[in-house]
Amino acid sequence: MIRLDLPRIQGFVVRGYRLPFAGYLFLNIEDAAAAAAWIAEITEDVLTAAPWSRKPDSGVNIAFSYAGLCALELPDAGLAGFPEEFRQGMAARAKLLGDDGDSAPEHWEAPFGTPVVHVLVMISAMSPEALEAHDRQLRARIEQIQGLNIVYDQVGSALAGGAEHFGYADGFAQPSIEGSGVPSLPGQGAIAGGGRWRPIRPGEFILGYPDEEGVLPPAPPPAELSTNGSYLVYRKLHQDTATFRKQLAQAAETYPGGEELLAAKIVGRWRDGTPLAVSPERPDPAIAADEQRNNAFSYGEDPDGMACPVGAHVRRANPRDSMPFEGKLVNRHRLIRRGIPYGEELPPGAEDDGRDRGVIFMCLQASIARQFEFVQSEWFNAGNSFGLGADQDLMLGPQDGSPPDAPGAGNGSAEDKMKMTVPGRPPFFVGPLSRVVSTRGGEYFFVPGINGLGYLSAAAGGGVA
Amino acid sequence: MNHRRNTCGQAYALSVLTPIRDGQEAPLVRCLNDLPEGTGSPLASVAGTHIARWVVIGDVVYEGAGQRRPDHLSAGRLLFTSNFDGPLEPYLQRLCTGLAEVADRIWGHCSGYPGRADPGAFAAYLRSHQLECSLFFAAYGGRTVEQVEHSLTTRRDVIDFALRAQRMGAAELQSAFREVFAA
Amino acid sequence: MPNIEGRATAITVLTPVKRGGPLLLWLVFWAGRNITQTLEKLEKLSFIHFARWAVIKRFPDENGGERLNHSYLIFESNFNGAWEQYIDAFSEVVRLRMQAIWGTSYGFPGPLPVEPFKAYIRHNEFVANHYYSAYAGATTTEIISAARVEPALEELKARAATMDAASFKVAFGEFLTKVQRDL
Repeated sequence: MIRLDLPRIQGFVVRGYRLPFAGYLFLNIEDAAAAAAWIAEITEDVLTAAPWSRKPDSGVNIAFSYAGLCALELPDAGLAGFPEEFRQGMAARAKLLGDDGDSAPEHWEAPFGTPVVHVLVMISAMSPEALEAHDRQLRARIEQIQGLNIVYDQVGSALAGGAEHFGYADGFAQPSIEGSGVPSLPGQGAIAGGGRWRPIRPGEFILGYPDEEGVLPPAPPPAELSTNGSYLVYRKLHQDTATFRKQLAQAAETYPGGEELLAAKIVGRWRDGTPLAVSPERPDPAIAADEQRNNAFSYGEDPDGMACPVGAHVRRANPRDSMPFEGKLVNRHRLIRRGIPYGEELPPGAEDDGRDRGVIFMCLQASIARQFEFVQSEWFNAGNSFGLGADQDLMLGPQDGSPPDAPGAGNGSAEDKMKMTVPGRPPFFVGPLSRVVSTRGGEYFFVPGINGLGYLSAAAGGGVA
Repeated sequence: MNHRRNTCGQAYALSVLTPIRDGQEAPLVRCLNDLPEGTGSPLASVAGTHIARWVVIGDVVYEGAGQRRPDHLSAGRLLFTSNFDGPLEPYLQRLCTGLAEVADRIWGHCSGYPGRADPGAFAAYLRSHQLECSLFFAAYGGRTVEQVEHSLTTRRDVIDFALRAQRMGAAELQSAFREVFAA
Repeated sequence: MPNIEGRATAITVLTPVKRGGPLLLWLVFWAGRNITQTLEKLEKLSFIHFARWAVIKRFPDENGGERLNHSYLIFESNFNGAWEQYIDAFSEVVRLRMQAIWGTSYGFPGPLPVEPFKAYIRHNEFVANHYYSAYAGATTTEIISAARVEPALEELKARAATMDAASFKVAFGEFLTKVQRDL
């Protein structure tokens, strides 16, 4: 049985903190030596995965973009060992990710999409006061350092009732990691056959441990740098709440099951989190509140999606046993999600107020390409894996109706209408769909373990400038 | 040549490997890269072509220590593969007339190419450089290009109509259906 | 983008075959052609349009063909989705067949773990200098689905001609129910 080196892994990789306030500081490094010294300092404050005796009021974690690792002047051999997608940075992957139109990097908030973003410092806090105090303390220290500057900041906070802006309770399904010490909940892991689940091998998320193939995931040398590390995807996703609500209401006008059921069909869970696969006809607060039950389900009995549509958001995010070959096509594409909403809620029934709100989407994995990018491009922004034609996820999909680079777009006109099928007798079609989520900025980061942070502060400045 | 090996349903897999003339490899690569893509591709004029490609193979690849004897081709090769509506002979004719002068522009870089003036010689050249497949898989080998395109359009039309139909009463539905699908 | 046309992705791989390999390959491909399981699994993987393998004993030329020290195995395929995902799926799902086919090539590290397998493919891959698809925007499952929608629609059209509006509305609902997995 694998045991993770918890005190040397940054905490949020292994467990969600359930601290409802978050602050994000993005830094730029101009002086590698000064940055290295600061990294050594802040390492002592970094929240690790070692079990807490009591929950802290606030804590800090830190991650680096490839541009940031270059700015630290690490040796070339180490830099070259990072994977291609990480080295390119998120903006260069726009086509693959469907970040076009409103989501295109040229529309991102500066300085996202440029090599200026080097370091991400995440503050997680119990209260706004604790957040502010910790933020002030960090800023004051950074202010004193020449050659280290804050170039962007962001705050996020949980909404009332643990929902996100489209009105759905969130955060139910997380993969359980073998060796994490976090108790496994039913439904969380990999399909083990015979309706059972097992935790996922840690190397799917944490470098230096065996993955689902039984080998160590590719990692940049030396092990001192990469072991206990992970990769973080950070995306600021704006949610056009007014349009989503309008789209839902309009579609519900002709949907026999009513708006709440239709809302559930889109996501695969009722608003309160009850899985459709478990309770297809009505939400069940008892189930939703019970972590032994709210994620314990599979789709084996529902291949046609009559209970939970094949294209529903949670089913796309984790198809479980609805793909053939007993989980082999699913187990290597799991994500650990750590996001939090941002922005004020739009009151029910209100017109769009032009304000910025959405979710700070974050996920962790050992391979950004095989996990995040794959899920985004193959499972959310496309339908072929599920036999859903050109259908995209209703919430995340660009809904632009034309495949990349294809002349004349699809086999019809460039205005191919996008839809989602809700299976039934007869089926119901939600559409024409328009984009309701757009990317406002993002980046790929490396989350070093404590040993990795030690390596960075020691090795910085060792490469060719 | 066992043509059955190259067949799956009504689809045929043609693989042609022709030697590139001395010093002509780089010009050939440029020529291929310059071809218009998508619906403007010269292959769009060859009826029955599902998916096809030209690949320049400069030399074979050496695998290292386990392979005791390295290999080198005396000349680079141009690989042409096409998945098309069989049978072979009529397609070779269509390739000749459909590609027209592009055929000469491309295979003109290859040794022994007779030109397209004599379609019989053109076809014979390709056939004499053809590879036989050991295994050919076609996901929809029973469908011609026309059938594929037609049904894709039909499917698209059905989806668009189904979206509109949700707001229609019975009489409107039937008359709209008849209009859209000329029923 | 190289090797990509709309939603279709091309891959071309050429590898040297070990001594005794061609005979083994003959058996493997015979099994592949005659034992439907292989082709069924490929179908279930649902992202391959066309795929082929061929063994090259002599590279065709004007002098009866050039023999190198080894025979060569060519693999050429057209599929939807990311290159790496494709290889991942092969590794995971048809592992034994991958071993049987490429195990006869020099340098093959085995289908699992997948990273060395991907590196091997990358090492032996050739870029398509020109890639064409007649229906570049369509995926394999769309094409297969469209083929099922068409006949069902024809049936419905026939009924539209003879029914009254109320009955047609019911028939239309039945049609949608029948083909919903293909829309």
